[in-house]
Amino acid sequence: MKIKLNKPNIKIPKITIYGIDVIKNLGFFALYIIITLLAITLIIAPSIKKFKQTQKKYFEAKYEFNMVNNQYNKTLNELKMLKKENAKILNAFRRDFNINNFKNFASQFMEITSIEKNGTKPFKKDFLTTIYFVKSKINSPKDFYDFIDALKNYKYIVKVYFPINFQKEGKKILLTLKLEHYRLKNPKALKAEEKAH
Amino acid sequence: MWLEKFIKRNFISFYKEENYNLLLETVKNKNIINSQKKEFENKKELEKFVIEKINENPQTYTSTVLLTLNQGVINSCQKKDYLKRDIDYNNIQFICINNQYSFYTSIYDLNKTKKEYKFELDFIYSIFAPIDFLAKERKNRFYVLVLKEYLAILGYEDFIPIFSDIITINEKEEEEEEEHIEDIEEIDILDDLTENIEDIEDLDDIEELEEENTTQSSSTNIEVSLLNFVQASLKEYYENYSEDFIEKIIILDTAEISPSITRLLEDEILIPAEYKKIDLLETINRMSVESL
Amino acid sequence: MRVYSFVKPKKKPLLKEDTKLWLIFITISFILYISFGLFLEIKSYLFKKETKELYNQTLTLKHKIIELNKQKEFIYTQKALYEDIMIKNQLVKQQIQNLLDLIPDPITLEKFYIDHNKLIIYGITPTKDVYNLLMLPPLESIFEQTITYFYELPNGWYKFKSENFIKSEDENQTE
Repeated sequence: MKIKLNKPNIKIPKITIYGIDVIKNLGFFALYIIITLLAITLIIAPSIKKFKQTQKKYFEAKYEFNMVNNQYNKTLNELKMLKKENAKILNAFRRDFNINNFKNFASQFMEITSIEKNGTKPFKKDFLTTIYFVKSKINSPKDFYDFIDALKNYKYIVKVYFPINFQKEGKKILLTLKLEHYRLKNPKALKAEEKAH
Repeated sequence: MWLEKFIKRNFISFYKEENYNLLLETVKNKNIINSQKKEFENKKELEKFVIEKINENPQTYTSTVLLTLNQGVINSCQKKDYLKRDIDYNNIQFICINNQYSFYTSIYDLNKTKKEYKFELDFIYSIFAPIDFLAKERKNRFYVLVLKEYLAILGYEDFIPIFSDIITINEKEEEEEEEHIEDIEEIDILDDLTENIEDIEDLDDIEELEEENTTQSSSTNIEVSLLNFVQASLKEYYENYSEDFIEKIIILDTAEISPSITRLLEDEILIPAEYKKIDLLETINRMSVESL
Repeated sequence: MRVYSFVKPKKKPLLKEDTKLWLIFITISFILYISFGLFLEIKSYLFKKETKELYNQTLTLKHKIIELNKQKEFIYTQKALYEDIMIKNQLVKQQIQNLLDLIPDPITLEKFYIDHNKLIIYGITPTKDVYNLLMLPPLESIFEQTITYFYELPNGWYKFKSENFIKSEDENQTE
């Protein structure tokens, strides 16, 4: 059985003022307002909120980054200064002991008769020390004192250590002493590490 | 597309016959849901109405027929056939149907009609087009479209129209009135006025006769014109167009002539005739709806 | 579907002009709202990304700073070691200087041997007394244990061997 449904005829009155269909335009205007309000509440307001949040977090992060960056730069500069100031010492720690060079150096103060290397052992986990027994002839103790003073400016790090033996021989003094040469254990590895930074 | 099922379209057809007759049909999904007939006395009112409807619903289609004498149908679409029939090919516009036959009209008439109204016409039909649209029997038939001021004939031989003609219907009332006046004068004034009341009665009779004659003469005028037109057309048809015989004449009437015209035709021309009352505006709209 | 008309129908718009305008206006407005929202979202996303980047970079820098500080420390260590060595050298020098100053005029040294915890002096003294009076007291005050051996020379002077011991930490052993 077919049931016929009458389509309800909704008559919307048509008002025209100066040729403009008022009802229709009001309807569209209302639609526009509704859409705008919906868009603002559902789309724009949350977006703005999210935007402000992320922006704030960004500025905070940026601020902290700048602080840390400044600190980093400062530290870097300090390191550079240190390196510069202590270049002599730092370089000295890198050098391997060259016996001939030492002989030349010491010849200002003494006449070296023999130098013997006596083993290398690690020192304080970053360094290596090599012990040399030196036999030499000096004219007077002053030469010895000058020698020790000159070690300050020598390009190797050398420690004069006991046992020391002074022995008169004619006009000269036979000097036997123990030298310890200090140097960095792995200068190349350290250098690579530094370069990485 | 699927959306078209829900679009409401207005189809307005009109033509000028004394006044402007107009039909507005609202069509949804090929169904006519509203129909409105209107008559306008002048063109301005017509234009105002149509433009108002167009503004209300932009999906409004306007259509009309060309009521001119310089139009017709030939059973070909090719230029050479137009030239063969001495039709001025350069000054006509034609529309080809099925590559078999074509309706043509004078470009001048067509452009004049296009510019005639303040709104743009979507469909402009030849007067023969609605005939062809309605023609169901298409072999050896003559169709006569009867308007108040025009008569149009379309002849079919072998399922396509091959013969067309259109004439205006001439009014002969004036001549007949003059004759009646003469008759009255001929009645002897010197006759005894008081001779008989019969004389006065005769006068009344004559007057009544006159009235009957004038009212009858307008419809008979069309009938006579129709008869003459059909006869002339048949002659032309048999002489120049076809060797086959017309087996039926179908009258398509819009001017409310008497259906007894069929008897007149059968008596005079000896060809069976059929009478159909049609609504030209409705036909035009159907043509427009179907062509979309 | 035969087309009988001499003219083709004009294309008809689906909507009236004002309806179309309204719809276009509303659509464009809506698109603008969405675009604005989208724009803000994109900005937020970019901020978030940047923030994450910054956090990472900050972390990296912090690590780097630790490294740099380590390097600084090491430089200080090296410097300290150097200073230490130099001081010790000076100490040795001082010690020997003091020792040699200690020796009074009459006494001459032939040889002496210094180690961490002992000092052995070979020398010649004119008399025992000179040695005992002039050398022994300072030696005794410095060292814990002093043993002196004398050997008389033909000419009346004495050769002496002074062995001095002090109990001190061996600096080179532990560490």
